Amino acid sequence: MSELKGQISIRNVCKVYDPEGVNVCAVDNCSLEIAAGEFCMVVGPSGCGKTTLLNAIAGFHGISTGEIHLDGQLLCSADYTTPPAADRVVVFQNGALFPWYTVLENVTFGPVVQGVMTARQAKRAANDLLGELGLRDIAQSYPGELSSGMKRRVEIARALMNDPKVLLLDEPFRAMDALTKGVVHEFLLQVYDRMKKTIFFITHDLEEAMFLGSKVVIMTTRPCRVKHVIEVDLPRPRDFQTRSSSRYLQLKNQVVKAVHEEAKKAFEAGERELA
Amino acid sequence: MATSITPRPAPALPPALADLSFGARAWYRLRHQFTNPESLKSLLLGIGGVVLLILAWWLATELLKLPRFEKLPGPVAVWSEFVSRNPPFGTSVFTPEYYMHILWSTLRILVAFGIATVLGVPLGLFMGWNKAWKDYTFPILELLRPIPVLAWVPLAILMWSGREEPIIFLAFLASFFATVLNTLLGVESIDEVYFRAARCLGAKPRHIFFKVVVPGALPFIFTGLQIGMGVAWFSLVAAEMLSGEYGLGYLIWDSYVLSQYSVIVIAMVTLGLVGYLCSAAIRLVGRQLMRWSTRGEA
Repeated sequence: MSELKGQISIRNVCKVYDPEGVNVCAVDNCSLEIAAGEFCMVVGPSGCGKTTLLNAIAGFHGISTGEIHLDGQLLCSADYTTPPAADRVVVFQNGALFPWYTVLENVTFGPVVQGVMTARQAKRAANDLLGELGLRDIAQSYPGELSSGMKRRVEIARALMNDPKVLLLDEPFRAMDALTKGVVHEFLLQVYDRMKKTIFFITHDLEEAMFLGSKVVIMTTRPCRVKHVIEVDLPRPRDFQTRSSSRYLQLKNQVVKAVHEEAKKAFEAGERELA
Repeated sequence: MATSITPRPAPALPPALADLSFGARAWYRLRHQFTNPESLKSLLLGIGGVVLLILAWWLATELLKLPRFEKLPGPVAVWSEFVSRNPPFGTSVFTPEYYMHILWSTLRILVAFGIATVLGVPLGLFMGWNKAWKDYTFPILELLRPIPVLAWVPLAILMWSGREEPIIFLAFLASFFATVLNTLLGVESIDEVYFRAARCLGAKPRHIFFKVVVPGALPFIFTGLQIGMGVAWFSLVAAEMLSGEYGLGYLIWDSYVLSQYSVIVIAMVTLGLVGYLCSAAIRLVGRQLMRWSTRGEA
């Protein structure tokens, strides 16, 4: 069991918010198994509660019932929440690179504050990592000088620098144009092929999910529940051509059909942003 | 298939400039002012505005002697006093007294502003950092802050026995509130996502304080320091008018009492210049500390 790294087990999780005396159920009896090293895509309409699930794994807030385990260890339950730590690093929707630090300082932040490396060691390791990911030239730039696609790549590098068990990505490519998205998708696929980290990736873009993931989990809208789990058996390494392969199109058709019903329901519920 | 896309940062400054020394950068900017047609145009327009103002002042006071302006000193009278080796009212660039006044006012400002910064910035940071601390101190701050500094004059005189202390105290008070409030706003302006990101990366509270709260609040802190410097001068001059035997505020009041009106204008313009230099110094330090925000807006 000890070589397991990044196996997530979500068991019957419910999360109830109580903002104004009215109980709002964000996540309802949600169960999901993610194997170590699996690229898991979680798809659902915006605002359906998938971020709630991610925040619980990250340790930003607790859950109402159920349990979440990481490699067999309890992460959170109704009365316990493991605080955030560098074994589960989040890449945020709108980006969270510290604008006051250079790319290099951002990437070395984790190991230095954890005390696992000295500043000098971290610098060397960060330079190696940035080089490996093709980001060396911008090491001395500030995030404000970078394009959105570049910033997202740096943020993924900053997360990888901590050698996390799980990468938690919360719609990281949401506001990007199609061309930039294509570039960062390939970047993430290369990272995954090289590092084989468990990835928990939230999106509302079904095609993105099919293209990147090994497993696509489709959630229902409010309350958030698992509706379908689809194994995507497209071969790796994948690249942009994968999207025109017949197997991809066949799978997509199948999934679109499955999701249509949920999308309609969500639309009727007044949701405008759909997969 | 490309394994990586070559990144291309877009520097805001000309590429070579970012690496130059401070002096070289200043020289570049100065030269740019005179060689770039756009900058030269703005510069000339700015000078033109000032010239027009002086011309209007001269017309109103010395040539036409308009009603209400006839008692005021005109630019010629002020200038001749200012550059006279033997000034009739005793204040010109050649008299040591002139510099003593500037020196005294500046020293008082430095002390008052320094104390306000040393106390105000940490207080503001803690208030933004710790909710309980803010709940505890914010009402006090908000009760005291709206009181105009001049209302403090009697208490300041009762509290402090010497001549300097009340003056410095009043200048400090004004500056302090501006600094605390802006620092607090600065901490509160930091996006929650940076705190979450820092915790994800394993930061402990002290790291979050020094690596997120302090740099994140810096732009607002420097806005606060700018405002603080402005209001410090404001209260200083008012306080110097009430007591003191040196200082630009004192000089203004003394010249009024002695009917040496040209000196009033000399002191006023000097206040404007010294105040501007103080603000410019703060901006300069701010720019050095926040290269990320000046370079980042590409």
